[in-house]
Amino acid sequence: MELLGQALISGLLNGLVYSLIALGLSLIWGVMDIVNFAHAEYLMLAMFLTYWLWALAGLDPLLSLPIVVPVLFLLGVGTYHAVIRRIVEAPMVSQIFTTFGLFLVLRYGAFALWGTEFRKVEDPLLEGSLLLGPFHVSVPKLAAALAALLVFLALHLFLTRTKTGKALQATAQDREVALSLGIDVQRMYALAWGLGIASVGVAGVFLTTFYFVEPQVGTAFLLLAFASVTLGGFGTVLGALVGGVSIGLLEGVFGALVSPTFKLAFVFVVFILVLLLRPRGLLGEA
Amino acid sequence: MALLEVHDLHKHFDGVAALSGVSLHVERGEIVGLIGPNGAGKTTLFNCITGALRPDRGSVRLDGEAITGLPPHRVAQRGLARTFQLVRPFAELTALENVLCGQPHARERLWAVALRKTPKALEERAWGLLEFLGLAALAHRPAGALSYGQQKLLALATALMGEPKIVLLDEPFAGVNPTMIEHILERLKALNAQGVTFLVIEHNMEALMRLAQRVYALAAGRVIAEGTPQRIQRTPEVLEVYYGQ
Repeated sequence: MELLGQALISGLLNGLVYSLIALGLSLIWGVMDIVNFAHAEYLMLAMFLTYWLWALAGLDPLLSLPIVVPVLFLLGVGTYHAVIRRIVEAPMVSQIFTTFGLFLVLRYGAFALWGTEFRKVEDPLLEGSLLLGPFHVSVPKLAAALAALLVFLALHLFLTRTKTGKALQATAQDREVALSLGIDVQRMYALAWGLGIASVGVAGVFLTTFYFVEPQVGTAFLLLAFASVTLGGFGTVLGALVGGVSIGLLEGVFGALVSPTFKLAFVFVVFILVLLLRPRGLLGEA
Repeated sequence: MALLEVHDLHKHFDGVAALSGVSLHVERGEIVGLIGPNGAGKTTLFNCITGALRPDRGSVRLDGEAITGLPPHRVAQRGLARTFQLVRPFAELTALENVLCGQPHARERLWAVALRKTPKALEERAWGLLEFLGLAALAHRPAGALSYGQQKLLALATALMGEPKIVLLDEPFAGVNPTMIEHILERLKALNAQGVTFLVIEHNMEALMRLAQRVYALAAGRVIAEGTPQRIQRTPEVLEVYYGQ
């Protein structure tokens, strides 16, 4: 029983981080129907930025948040204007190759610049674990999970309460009608990239406090983010949250009760079963 | 000076001439109808006026300013609103949110409005429009749950939200039941009495005759007749195109 409780807690915390990574993927897809295969490479870039700010300037990851997140936002907007803008109306195959190419450039660029070494931030402000009754709760993971919830809440309020948020939703639902109402669709696309990449930046900062920093760190997370987005329902913000948490919980429970080695195999078996029964995902609309 | 002035507009698609030299004008405060058989070029004309398509030749002036070839959102920002032939509400947003999407999106700094809540005055204006069109009770329903006729009214409310100088309506009565046609007709007339200018594509002749003050007939990408609704119905060219006489 205690084991299960512990598994659920760490599964929930991990799942919220997966959700936060999945969020940007889902947002960009939702607004402009483009799958960003390079998404987790921005996570890697955020982690390296956080790491170097600590290694070179002595800035704790938590304190580097106000630097890393705006930088990632600008990186997202910049990527849109430099690359994505040209393929918005291109065939899907071209879009896939473009973002996949971006993935290769970023990953091997990181290898070229920083090598294959595994790096780690020592003694971050967020460290250790809390004792919650009989359960251990990792402080950095708890912080990351809370940050994820805050980002989801902020994005939800932005989308539903502000004019720009509504314009973004309008663009997502019908680009042509949005244009006819005077909404600058290009700008909304750039904003979606900014927000999507900034949110993965938040995840990167918090992951740096309990994860190794290396050029291939994105691989595992990209797969989990895709699974989260697909499980929850492509293009819905809430779907990313539900999908990510489901994957985290499954992973935690199978890992603790069955076999840590094969936990991901179980996760993906369930994932495939869910999609067989509900191809549009848990919250996706037909 | 006409509010909307279209001069010698040409548009070809792969060698097929959709518009071959269309000229027309709409005066401030008018309701002008646009009729013509399928394929006459009516919707292409709308798309060239609103910037959704770039005309090959010719010019469009709105309130004296050239808007030819501007992208659609710029044209909308200059005060030209449109509705679409098949209604396309933002189905997942509520009716009220749909109308709010129509608020003016002038060239303002994104940062200035990104975090601001919708001002009270705009929200009141949106409510006012919903009430005027009889949709207030449905304000918080998702637009996708509204009937087709109600969605047409909603599109009209959204188009009016930006206080446009002119509204282009693409078949406002198509696919709508007779009671709803009466309602839409009466509301359009009331709006016109308040000073809103309309250019209307419509196949329902009877409704258009009661609505428009002046009508253009289009066939094969050209204006073949122009005049009052009564006159246009008796024009030999129009009769020939419609009835083969």
